Amino acid sequence: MLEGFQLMLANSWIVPVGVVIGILVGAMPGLTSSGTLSLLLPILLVLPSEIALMLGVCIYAGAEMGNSFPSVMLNIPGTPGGAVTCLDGYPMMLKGEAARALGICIMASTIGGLVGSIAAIALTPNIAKIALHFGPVEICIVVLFGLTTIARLSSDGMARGLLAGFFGLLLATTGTDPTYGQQRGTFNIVYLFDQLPVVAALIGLLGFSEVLMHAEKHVARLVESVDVHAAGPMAWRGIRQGFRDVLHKPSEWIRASLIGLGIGAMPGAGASVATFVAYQQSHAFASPERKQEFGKGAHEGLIAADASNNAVVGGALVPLLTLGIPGSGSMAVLLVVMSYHGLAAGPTLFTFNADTAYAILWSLFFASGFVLAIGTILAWFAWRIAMVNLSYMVPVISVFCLLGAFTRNGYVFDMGVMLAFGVLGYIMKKYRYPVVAMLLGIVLGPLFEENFMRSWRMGFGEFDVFWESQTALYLWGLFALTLVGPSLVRCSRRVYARITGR
Amino acid sequence: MPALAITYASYAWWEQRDGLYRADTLLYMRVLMVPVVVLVMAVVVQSLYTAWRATREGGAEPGGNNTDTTESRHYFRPALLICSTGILVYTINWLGYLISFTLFILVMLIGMGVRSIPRIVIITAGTVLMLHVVFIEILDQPLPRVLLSVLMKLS
Repeated sequence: MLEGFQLMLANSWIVPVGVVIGILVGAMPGLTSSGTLSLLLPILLVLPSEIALMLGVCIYAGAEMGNSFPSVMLNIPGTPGGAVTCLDGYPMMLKGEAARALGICIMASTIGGLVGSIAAIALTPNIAKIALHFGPVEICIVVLFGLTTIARLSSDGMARGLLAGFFGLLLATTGTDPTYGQQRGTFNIVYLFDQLPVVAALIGLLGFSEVLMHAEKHVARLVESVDVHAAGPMAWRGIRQGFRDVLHKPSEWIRASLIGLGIGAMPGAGASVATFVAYQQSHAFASPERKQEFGKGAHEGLIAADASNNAVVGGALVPLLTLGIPGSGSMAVLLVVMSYHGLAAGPTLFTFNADTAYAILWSLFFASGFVLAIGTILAWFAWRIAMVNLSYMVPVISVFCLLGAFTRNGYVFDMGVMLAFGVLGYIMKKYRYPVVAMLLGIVLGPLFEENFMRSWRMGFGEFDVFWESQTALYLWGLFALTLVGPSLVRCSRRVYARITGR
Repeated sequence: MPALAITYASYAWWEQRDGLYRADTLLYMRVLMVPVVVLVMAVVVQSLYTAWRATREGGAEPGGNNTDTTESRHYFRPALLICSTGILVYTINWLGYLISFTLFILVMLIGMGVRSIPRIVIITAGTVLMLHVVFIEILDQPLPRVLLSVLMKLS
């Protein structure tokens, strides 16, 4: 742990840089942290591994805070996680309390981030110790569990999410079979003989598809006329008042941070789910008088949204570092960076590269501190980024997507792969298929195949091996619960309501 | 999407079956194909059911289509972006990165409705300069520069 701390200190300059980039990106509606990380991949792949990963985590942490600025000032969430901030942040702005609302957001985000990072530092190595006992069978089940959880959260039914995930696993078979070295699904294209260019696919699915969506909507400027001057001056006194509001309500930020941490650790759930759950819980625990204030500028609602939003980052690192399962698009990008640099994400990370793993966790802790300082400084102008004309951004971001795809292998062919996956991602978004599920399938495909084949051979060609061990049975139980649990609860509620006539 | 998944799965399956692949490799493909086929059927049934229900209720929303009408949508622009990116990828090996990206940004800015010539020039020149500095000077990436090198040799 100490070595990780020293490593982080030696490269600590990257923390504020990442936080600044993250806050500015988060403030720009449409550019999510995962999209930005995918665009920055050429730089992340060239940087030394620890700096690249620290930068990625700090950008993620900064973006989750930065989304509060346009949410409060313009009623436009910068990232999906910022949607709940709009509910109470914007009404506060309309009341002339914009500075106070931003103060609440900054302090709640800082505390949420600190709680998330401390919990991640404390929990991750211990979970990794448990995960070390996982064999190939258990890893297969965990991969399926991750895919299913993401599919479960798909807005248009689980079938679409699972289809996207399994299609991703199928696409990941492109290239050389890891067991026997036979080429599959290559269309006789020499560039695909090794494997599907994952970086190009990732940039296409996350970045270029988003550019296509923006080009289609063609909202030249997301905000045309918002009278932000009516919100009162962005005074230091107001921001300080916001800080005090948060510190005087410890139960709010403790509850919200723990919710964010727990949901962040679940693959696929992410900030948008965490903020809604935390907000709903804050509302449930509020007094009847305070409940009336929710949606009209309740401080509790704003604290819940922002604290949970930032605690998610720490939670999301837990499955990535302990099991090698990314729970979100941003984490998938970090997994690609880790594998490019030869770091095996998963339980062995804490055995062979413990210093890097701890440096990542410590950087998140310090990033949360920098969020307070940098967020306060940027409060004066960061929300103006939402005013950037998207007509200018579309060609520029497209060029960066193309170059990002090219950089990994130096093949122009990879630019074409990026374009193909961008179009695929665009179609998926149009028809409401979760892009992240497919991405997870592509990224985890080789891991799944390798462990599946190993298990198969361990079981001498029998499927019984998949439910022989106790751990596997527990994991299958958990898997089944994820698959059918919510439907069973819904059905039982319906039956109960029919019986009782309510 | 279901059609695409089935097409790719069929291609991969036939390729491996006809290519005398090992039984274990085929087994893994079969393990993936079974859920894909089942899920494709589930999605198709779900979409048909949604469409049928929408028709019965006289609703306007057909299954799967994005019916968000709050913003004006311009399908010409994504089509232009896809085509110009395709052309860029196809020609970059001959034209080189400087000319390709300059033309691409120019076309896209005009396509996106930017009419101010100074802005077009500044954004194009600024972006190309930035990518030259970042990707060539700093990251030392071997971006294609064929025509550029030929012109330089000729001059």
